[in-house]
Formats: sequence, structure tokens, C-alpha cells
Amino acid sequence: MARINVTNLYKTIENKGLVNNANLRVNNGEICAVIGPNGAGKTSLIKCILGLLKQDVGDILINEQEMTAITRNDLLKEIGTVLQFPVMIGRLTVEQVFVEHFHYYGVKTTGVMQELLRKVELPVSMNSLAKNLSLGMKQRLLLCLALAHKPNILILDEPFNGLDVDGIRLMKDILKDFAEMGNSVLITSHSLNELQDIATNVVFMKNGTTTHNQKMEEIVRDFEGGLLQYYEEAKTLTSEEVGRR
Amino acid sequence: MVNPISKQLVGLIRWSLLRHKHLLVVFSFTQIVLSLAIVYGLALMLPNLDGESTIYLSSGSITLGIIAVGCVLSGQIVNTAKLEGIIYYQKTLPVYRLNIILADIIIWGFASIPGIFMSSIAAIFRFRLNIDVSFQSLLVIVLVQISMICIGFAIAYWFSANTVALVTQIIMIGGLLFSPILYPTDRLPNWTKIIYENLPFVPASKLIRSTLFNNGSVSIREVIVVSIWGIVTLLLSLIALSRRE
Repeated sequence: MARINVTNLYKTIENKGLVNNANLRVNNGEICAVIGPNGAGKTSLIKCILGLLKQDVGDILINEQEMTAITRNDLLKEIGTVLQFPVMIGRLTVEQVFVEHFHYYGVKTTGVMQELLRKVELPVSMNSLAKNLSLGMKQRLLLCLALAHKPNILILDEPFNGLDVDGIRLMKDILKDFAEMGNSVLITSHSLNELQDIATNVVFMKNGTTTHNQKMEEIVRDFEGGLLQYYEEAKTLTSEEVGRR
Repeated sequence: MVNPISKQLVGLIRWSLLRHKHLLVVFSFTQIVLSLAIVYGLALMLPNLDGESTIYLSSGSITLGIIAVGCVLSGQIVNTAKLEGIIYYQKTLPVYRLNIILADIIIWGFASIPGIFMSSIAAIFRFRLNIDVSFQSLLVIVLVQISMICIGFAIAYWFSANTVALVTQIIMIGGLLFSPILYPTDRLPNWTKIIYENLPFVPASKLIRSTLFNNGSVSIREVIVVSIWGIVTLLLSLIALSRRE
């Protein structure tokens, strides 16, 4: 079953083509990595999938349902996100962050907060101000929030930012476990080594155009230097060549 | 499961309170100073205060306090929230857009109460005026509050950051000096009538004067003008929050 299925997606803002014929499919149990240089359109693609941007042309299916057929709130219930760290969280204590965030998803807080903090190995006091946490700790906190309502899709934009070695290992383990339970992960990152360890599929994006899904095992088999070499070679392609690949 | 709408609203109000708790104290103090400045300070500039002038100063103080909180302060705070990514973050939560606006209307409505209260007390002590606290006058106060807050929100949601600062300052300066809120309409050229009669500020001050100070009768036209501004700007704010670019 395809959890996310994007076909022939186009999005233009102020005459600038942010997404130009993007295609993407993430099935049950898959971790799909979207890679590409800065300005390739990765974040715009994620925003379209989250319903924050409206595509000009193309279809987005979430859990095999047309996005237009799902209410925004139902869509957001299916998905956990780790996007940029919101300032609003920074002014609250860790407990307040949990309580307020859980409220909107109808998650019971009793016992859950400590369990989630243990899961992401974040040993902080509930009274700590979130703004005083390090960047890596904030990323872990965001991961807690993303997992709290038990979504079946995780969408993460640069989740390894600020994480130390242990944090990266933990993040990878959690994502792998999440996918092994039949869920799906869509992840963008410039940390190619980390992606090579966990991603099952890769989509390269340039000037808003995507390649077709490539199996990670095929990339590792066909490119001696692994994902890094694949990336370096894909970077030299024109947008048309990327679209055909 | 997403919470019922009312529980969601309570959560958003609590979240808004947590974010603004420090600012609310400052705003209350600012409003108290503004009220005293108008009722006591401006009165010093007018050597021969007659009954009508005292009513204009007192009702004007209340109206300007509501304008200051609704159109200026709340607009600027929403503008800051927009710049800090808070609005973007709220869009990724499964909450109804109308609830986000309603929560802020309630917070800012309560935030303008100290100014209304202090202006009324100052009017009683300084000018020995009678304040008519009735169902009708309270209804008018609530209508004016909602309308002004919605105007502030619409300005913040639709204009760029710099323009918001400019527009809110123009409203405040225009309200203080160039609109017959603090003085009778016959002191302004006749051609300005079409402007101030159709903007919400002077009709709002007339409504407050006619209900809270029993000065003249309530005009349906003024109720309609203030209501239309409130409804249109509420819809504009809702569209801004709901639209997908």
C-alpha cells in the first residue's frame, strides 16, 4: 500500500517553478529519502504533501486517498512532522510543550511524556525551558511530539541537524523501528551517510524535478561510492535528464 | 482523535495565555497610562471644559484604548508571530482555523478590559460622570472590541511586516488627532465626513458615547458600519489562515 503517492506535481509561486513534475511513492515499511542541492524544491514538495502549499497540477494521495477528499485535520492526524523548531515552543517549559501539543491530537499525557522522553533518550526536567535546550535536544523533543499521536507517516526535514553521534544513532534506530512496524517515512537531509544506513528508497531532486524512486540496494550495488557518488553524478544532470532517470 | 471544537478552543486560549502572559501585564499598564493621559492630561490642554467635552474625552479614552489593543497591539503581536513562524507552526496542527482566531479574540478582548475600566474610573473621579453599565452598553463594548481586534488581525495577516507597523501607527495617530473621537465632528471640514463615517472608529466612539454615557441615541447605521468591518476583517483573517499558497 502506498502511504504517499505524488504524481506529476507542479507548483509555481511568483513565476518561479518550485516543483516541476515531481513524482514520489512511499509504501508501507519504506523510508524514502529526498536528496538534492539547496533550492531543489524539497521543502516545497513537503509543504505540498502537508497541504500547506496547493499544487498547480498533479495528484497527491495519502493512504490511497486523494488529498482533496480528506479534511486538513484528518490529514494532519495521519502524519507526524519534524520541521523547523517553532519559536512558540521555545517560550514554554518541556511539560507545557507536551501538554499543549498533545491537547490538539487528543493524546493522554499521563505517563506518555516520560515514556517518550525515555524513548528519545532526552533526560531533561519537565520544568526546563524548551528554549534552553541544545539544538540536538530540541530535535529530540520535536521527534517526541511527532510520534506522540501514533501517526502512520513521518515527514522529517533535516532531522539530523544539531544531533551528536548518539543522537544520530538514536534517530536512525527510531526511524527504522517505525518503518518496520509497517509505517512510512519521508525524509530530506544532506547527511548522505546517515540516509544510506536507513533509507530503502531514494529520490533525487533538482530544480523541482525528481528522478523516479531508486532502491537503495541498487544504488549501493551500482555505485562504488554509494549514495554520495550517486548524488555527485545526479547533480551534473540537467533537469530533463533528472526527470527521465 | 482530535478534540471537540470547544476543548480545542480552550487549549488554544491557554496556549495563547502562556505565550502572552508577560506582555499582558505590560499592555495593561500601557492602557492605564493612556487612559489617564487622555482623561487627565488632555483635559489640562482644554481650559474650559464643558459637559460635552468631558463626555468626548471620557468616551474617547475608552474607544482609543480598545483601538490601541485591537488594531495596534494585537496586530503587531500577530505580525511578530507571523515572522517567528508561529502561524506556520499552527497551520501544521490539526486545529480549526476559526478557533485560532477566536482564541486570540478572547485573549485580546480581555486584554483591553483594564483600559476600559481605568478610563471609566477616571471619568467618574475627574468629571463626575455617570457610567451606564447596562446589557446594551456591554454589548456595544464587546462589538467594538471584536471589530477592532479583527481589523488588527486582518492587517497583520495580509500586509508585510513593515507595512503592518506603518498602518497600525497611522490608525493610532489618526485616531488621536484626525478623527472626531475626542472632539465633536463639527471641528473637522465637511468633506472628511464621508471618510470617518464609513471607517469603524468614529461610529464605534459614537456607540460607546450613546450607550455608556447616555449621550444621544444608538444609531443602527453605526452598529452596521462597525459590524460590517468586524465581519469582513474576520473573514479576511480566516481566508489568510486557511489559504494554501
